[in-house]
Amino acid sequence: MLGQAIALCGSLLAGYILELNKASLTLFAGAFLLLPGVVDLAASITGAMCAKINHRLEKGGRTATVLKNSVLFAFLLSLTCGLIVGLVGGTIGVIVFDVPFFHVAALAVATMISVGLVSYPAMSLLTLFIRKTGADPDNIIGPVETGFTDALTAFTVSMIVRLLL
Amino acid sequence: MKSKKLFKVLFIIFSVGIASSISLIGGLGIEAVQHDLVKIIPLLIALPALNSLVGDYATLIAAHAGDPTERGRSKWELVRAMLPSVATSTLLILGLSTVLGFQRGYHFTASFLATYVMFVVCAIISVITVMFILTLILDALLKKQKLNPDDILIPIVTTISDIFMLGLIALAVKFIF
Repeated sequence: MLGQAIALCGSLLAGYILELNKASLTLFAGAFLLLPGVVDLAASITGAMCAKINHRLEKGGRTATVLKNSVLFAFLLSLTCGLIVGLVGGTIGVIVFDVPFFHVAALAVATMISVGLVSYPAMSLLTLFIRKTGADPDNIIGPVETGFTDALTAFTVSMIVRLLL
Repeated sequence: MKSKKLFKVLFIIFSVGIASSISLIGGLGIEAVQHDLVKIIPLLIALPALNSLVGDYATLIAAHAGDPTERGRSKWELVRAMLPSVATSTLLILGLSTVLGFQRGYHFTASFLATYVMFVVCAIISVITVMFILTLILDALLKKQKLNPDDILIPIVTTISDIFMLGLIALAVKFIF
């Protein structure tokens, strides 16, 4: 329950960041189009990485190896899937809203790289910490990582949009 | 053996990338109503929280489905365990988004508040119910295909919950608020 409350505070912080930057976000055509895609991608890769770390450690994997492989795989997913979302978002943006393709694609890739650099190492260490306390990370990490990645992604998108404008 | 592993990695990249790209359908709705949405400050502030709340519960349900030790448990136990948390989270979103909206200078009326509360409550309940049913179906399908549900199930259910929630928000901005 506490984890969920912290997560929601993170997400409401993300909403507050969007509200503070709404002027630049509405000026950058395609930002609102891309936002759910990158937020969802960052959260789902982080969630999948944490669940995988937990289940592999439960099966008796070596902590350092499990962590290294899972974080690296998350980075690989982040880069490649960020590119896919950027390309799809750019194409949809050009067709439906007549927005510049490369701006949208660059926003997706740059956001995924920046978020991944902070989020994956931090959340993998948090998963380990939760396991050490004896709690089940499956019950806690989902809400916490989505709150954290939501705020981080909203902040990163807002900052990159300001740079690109 | 190596090509089999490469195929598996490519399959995961493709499915996660496509699943997140499908979230852009929700983004289409939000982009289309963005100029009206930014005027409804409490809803704009609550948007990521509503989205991640349904995503969280979708992830929680999917992670339990993906854990072999959890599969034997009754699904009703999970529903009963989630109910107080869902109620508290809904109240927290409504309370904090209203306070932050007020702090940002939004002019609240009684009719807006009533509509806002009704919309948030109904949207959360309907999306979580749909996600729960969908996760059960997808988990059964993935088990048959011998794929790790951790890699596939979580991205798929969070994506679908995003589309549902963002679609409801876009429709509400257009037709209710």
